Amino acid sequence: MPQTDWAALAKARGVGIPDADLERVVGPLRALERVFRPLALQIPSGVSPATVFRADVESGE
Amino acid sequence: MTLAEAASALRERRISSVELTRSALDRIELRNPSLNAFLAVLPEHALERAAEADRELAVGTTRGPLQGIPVAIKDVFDLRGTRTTGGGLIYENTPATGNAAVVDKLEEAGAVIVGKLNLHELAYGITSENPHFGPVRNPWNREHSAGGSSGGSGAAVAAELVFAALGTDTGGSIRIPASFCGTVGFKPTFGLVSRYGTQPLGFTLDHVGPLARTVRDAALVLNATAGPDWRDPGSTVNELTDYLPPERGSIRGIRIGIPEDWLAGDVDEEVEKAVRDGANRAASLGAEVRDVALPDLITVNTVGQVLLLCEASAIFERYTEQRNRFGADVLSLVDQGRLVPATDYINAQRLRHQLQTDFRTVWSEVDCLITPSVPITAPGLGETTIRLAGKDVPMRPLITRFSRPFNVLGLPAISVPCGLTGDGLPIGLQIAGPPFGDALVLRVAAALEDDGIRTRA
Repeated sequence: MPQTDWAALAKARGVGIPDADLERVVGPLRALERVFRPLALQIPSGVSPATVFRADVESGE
Repeated sequence: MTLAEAASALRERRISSVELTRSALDRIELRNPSLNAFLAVLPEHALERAAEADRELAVGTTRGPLQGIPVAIKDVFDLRGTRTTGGGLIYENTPATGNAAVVDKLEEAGAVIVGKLNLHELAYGITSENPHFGPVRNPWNREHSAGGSSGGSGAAVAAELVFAALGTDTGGSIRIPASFCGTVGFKPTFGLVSRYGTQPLGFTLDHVGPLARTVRDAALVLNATAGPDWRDPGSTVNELTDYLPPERGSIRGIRIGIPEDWLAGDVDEEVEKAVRDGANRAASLGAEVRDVALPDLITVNTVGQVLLLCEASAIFERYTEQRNRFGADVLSLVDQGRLVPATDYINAQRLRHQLQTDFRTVWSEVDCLITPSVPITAPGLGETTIRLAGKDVPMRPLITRFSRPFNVLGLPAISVPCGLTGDGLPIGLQIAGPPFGDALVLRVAAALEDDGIRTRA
């Protein structure tokens, strides 16, 4: 499975992460991606997210 | 003295709330400089509230067992007239214009809030080594972490500065400091306690709950703080209002699962032995203790990591131009979350849904689970890895390993002290139950506590 180039993505998105901070960001994301992406690919198409939008929610804000 | 005992002494007029509160303030003055548990002490507010409690008790106006009891709150809860720092610089000048829902409930119950407690920066970490306000130190050994993120809450209760404290728990932030500091820490079912007026970290993962000296004390605080609140979108209605375990309540016949697969990884030997001893104690009290297969631990924790990275960064992104106002570890997490695609977040929520379904099967086989609260005891301040079974293991994923799953699933979970290591550091045993099985979890924990698990031989 191809790995995301997180450093290139950060630069392309222009989120303002300095080069000096990038390695501390990229390492954990690589590790997380290696575990997470295979799990995500196995989700049956009919499974909904655990979050639900309710049209009738009370709100005073 | 426990909270319940102090409540009896107050009702019987053997002591006054002002005396209890002055005693708490004296202890804070004496011990807080070496523990750094409090960010703000509120003597005037506290003594006013204490005098009011005494006046009410004198004329027979009773508000329940928290009336007149000195407590403290993590500095993520709004308390009118004080600033809520969240342990960070980005919020340091944010004055609270009202009370958090749980603060209102504590005050309605007559509790005396004596101050606001230190924590891991923005509640986003597990050590409470706060780069802006200094580290919270563990009362059992001040060179060790108090855990986090509710480290001040754990330290304040363990050092007997207050009878109970409120914390928040997004991946273990109540149970981890409870385990490291040798107190009880309870994370209720998602939605049972309102988060209104509480600084958020992970919208779908955040829980509010008590840290206390005993299980029953924690239940008394839960009784006072639980309840529906339309202002919290996650709030749920639950009819049960009394979570206090019965005295000498039996756990005979309760089916307790030990997830052997989960215990197969990195767990300190002394911790594992203490927890297995705790399970054997439950069996000796008549519980049916058995192995149970749970969904894969790495999967649950990975889902939790993705959810938290995204939800926390959604909150903190607006502050990222002020990079020098974040500590390094929190800033790195915020940066990571800003890069995770939306599809990953949605897929993590889909996996979460699957895991919830898988867990329904578990609850047909057992009534609750026992695990370690944390696979290790409190690490030394500044440590980022720990040596287990001959290898260096990164601290952060290790420490949240058994706690985070119950945030992902929204399930009630408690950490109960179950002894000390040879080095004299506390060990925590975790009991988790099905949705709204809070009373059952507390009942099992109380039975173990009554049987002496805290001071096991």
